[in-house]
Amino acid sequence: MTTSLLLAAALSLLPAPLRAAADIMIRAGVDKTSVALNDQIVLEVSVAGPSTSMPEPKLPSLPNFSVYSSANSHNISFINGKVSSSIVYTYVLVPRFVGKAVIGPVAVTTGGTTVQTDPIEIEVVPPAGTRVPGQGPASPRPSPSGARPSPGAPDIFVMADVDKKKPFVNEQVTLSVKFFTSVQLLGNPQYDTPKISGFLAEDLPPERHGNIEHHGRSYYYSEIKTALFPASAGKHVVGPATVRAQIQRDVTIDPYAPDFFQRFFSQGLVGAEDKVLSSEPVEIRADPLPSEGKPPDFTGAVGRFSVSAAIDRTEPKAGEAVNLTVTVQGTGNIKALGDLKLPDMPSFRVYDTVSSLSLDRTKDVVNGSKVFKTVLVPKVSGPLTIPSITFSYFDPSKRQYVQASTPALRLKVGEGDAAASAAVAASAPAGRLSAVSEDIRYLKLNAESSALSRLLEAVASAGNAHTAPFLLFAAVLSMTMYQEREASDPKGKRFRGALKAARKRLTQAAALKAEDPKRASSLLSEALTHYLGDKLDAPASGLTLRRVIDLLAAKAPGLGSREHDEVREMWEELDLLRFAPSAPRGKGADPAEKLASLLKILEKAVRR
Amino acid sequence: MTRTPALSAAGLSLLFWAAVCSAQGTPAELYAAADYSGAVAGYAALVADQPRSASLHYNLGNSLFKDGQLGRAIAEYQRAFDLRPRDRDIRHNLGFALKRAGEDLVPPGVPPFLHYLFHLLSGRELAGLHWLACWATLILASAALLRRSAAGAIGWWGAGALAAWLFFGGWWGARAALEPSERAVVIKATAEIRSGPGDGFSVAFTAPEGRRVSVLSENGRWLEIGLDLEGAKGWVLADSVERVGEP
Repeated sequence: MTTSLLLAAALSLLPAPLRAAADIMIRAGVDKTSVALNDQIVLEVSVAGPSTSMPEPKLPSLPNFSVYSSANSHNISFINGKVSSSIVYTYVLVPRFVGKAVIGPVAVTTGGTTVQTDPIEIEVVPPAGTRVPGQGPASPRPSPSGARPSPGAPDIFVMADVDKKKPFVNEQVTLSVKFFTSVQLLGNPQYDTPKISGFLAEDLPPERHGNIEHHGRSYYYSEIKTALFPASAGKHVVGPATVRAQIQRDVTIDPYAPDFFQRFFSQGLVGAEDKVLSSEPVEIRADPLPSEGKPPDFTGAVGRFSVSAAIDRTEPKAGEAVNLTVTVQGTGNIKALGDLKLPDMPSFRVYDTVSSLSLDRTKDVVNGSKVFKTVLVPKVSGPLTIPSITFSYFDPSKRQYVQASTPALRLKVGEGDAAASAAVAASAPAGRLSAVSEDIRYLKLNAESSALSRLLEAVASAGNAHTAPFLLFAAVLSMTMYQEREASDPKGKRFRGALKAARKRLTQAAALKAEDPKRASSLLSEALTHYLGDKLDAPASGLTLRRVIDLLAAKAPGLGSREHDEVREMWEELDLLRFAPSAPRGKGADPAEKLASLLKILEKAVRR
Repeated sequence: MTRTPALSAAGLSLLFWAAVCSAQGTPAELYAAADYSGAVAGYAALVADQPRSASLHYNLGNSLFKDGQLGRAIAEYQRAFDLRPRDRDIRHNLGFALKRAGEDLVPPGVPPFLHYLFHLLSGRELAGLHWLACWATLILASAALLRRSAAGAIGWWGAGALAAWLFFGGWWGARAALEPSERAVVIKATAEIRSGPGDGFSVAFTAPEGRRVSVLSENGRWLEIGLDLEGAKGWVLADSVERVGEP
């Protein structure tokens, strides 16, 4: 008992990577162990272990095969809180030589420990109905159309081309390298991939073969395609693709030559010639992605994609895990897709997102899907919503950015048990509020605006009443200005007020005429003398008739002698009335009326 | 003349709604019972009767939001905000709904406190303060003219009133200059904005539901609108937007 406890303790003290390495499993398998030279085999290597990040396996040297990486798929599972994952790497192997070949151990190393598979034996057989390299010399194939081959047509050559020369950044460009031969090859040729810089490259197996007529000559060709994704804008060059092949060399045999036997036994009757062929470099000019209309969540995806989201349960309890799976699939460089930005979900505890990749190359187009798995734990009960998740990409065919989105997912979360709720609550920092969900605030049941607000609104709504203070101010200002003008010009004031004062006295005289004729006569006399004094700017008290006539002649030249006589008569009549009210009077008009008429004449004639 | 039938219709709808409420519950009760479409109808009738109640616009906005009508909800929140911009609940719900429509209450680049201060008073309150200060200035100036002996003491008060008049007048003028004369909110899921007032013109761009736009001009069934955020403008069918004018 003690020993097993000590052993368990010792095991628990082992470094984690060692324990992880011990738990990692690697398996390798092929779809067939016998393959024709013009066929291919598929090698699948599976790496599994208790971690979400698994090391990549290392393939052994495979000189007998041309190796193409095909795809990998990542599966992750959470069982009872433990994570386990497996990655399957798929490779396409094209044999290069007839005979037995061995796929050596495939190894994976982690934490200093290496785990490897057993070797796999493969038998490569000659292709059915074709000549096996080395079995005998080949002659150039006749043209199926019967046309004569052009004299300049080469026996063997390599061409490289791309399907588009002006892609956008991260848009797929398909590079095609074709190797043509019209002569028998001695063994499979060796293909050296072109130097590719500035691109992310993805093989597009399988290798294609066929016959084609070129310049009147029939060729057997092999084609290798590669998907290229420009990593940056600007000019990029795909270097020359190189093929090394051995072809038959015609040898003139002279059986009498001294070295005939030596050559016969060393080389055979056929001479072999090494050929190294290269294609022309290919120039590609990548356009930058437009900056206009770039969505904020754009991470560089170029192609055509769709996004979908699903949850594994819709009615969990609070504290129970819900797996959210978001799948982005479509055409484009799936490997380069960035992380998915999930919307804020304060009602959930959100764990790290794990992604897996699945690639497909149907019809030489890189497509596939990337699956993002996230564990969500509802913090509270009630109806909860996982908001719409958006994924933005650039569609080169439309030359614009597109935003794909998922519909919102609704959950009905039941009340969890106390332990789960406590665990969720424990995630909040002590002493702080923990935001659980965001929503609008509730109704206002009795809140109305303040009295001051209502007063101000009433004032604002007063309309034409707002002209009142302006009118008031204008009136006061006018009055003040008038008063100031009067105060600054006493002579003018007397001149302008002369008629008004005279009429006032006339009115008073009319009122006193019956009761006090003497006083009324005196008022009439004062009305005339004060009027003339004010108008002629002379003191009324010492004014004499003579002085009045002189001043009228000077200041009212428009008045004639007749008007002067009227003034004189009026003056004398009023003097008579004032000093001798009982004296007999003529039957003429009433003195007040006469005076009023005279004042009208003088008002018009006397100017300041 | 046109106001009387409108008021009668509002009164009738209110009476009708009062009868419905007695049978089904108040709008608040319907809202609490998650009958949001019923709450929308109830609050709409109340708003028609009291168009200057910020609380009713806010409650109608809440009901519309819960009923899934984001555009109309934002229009109601905007009306409530215009009437009572200091209310924290109105501010929160308008900002919350605008975020759903991809917009922020505070325009990008504007410090939030400055936006808060600029919108501390409603348009009516600003106008009221402006006119009060105007009245005070002119009355005090008149008094100073009439009572020269007290002009010194009155002058200080008059100067203060004049400063207030200029301040609130400037604030009011700045609001009028910087804010669109009329605002509208997109209420269709996606509104197509065309290059001219007719179906024959090509669609220049689309605007999502809830986006606030400025109304620039009108031509029959078409409104010319501007999107300040993007600096774009075009023509949209009038029924694709809800105009948010002075309640």
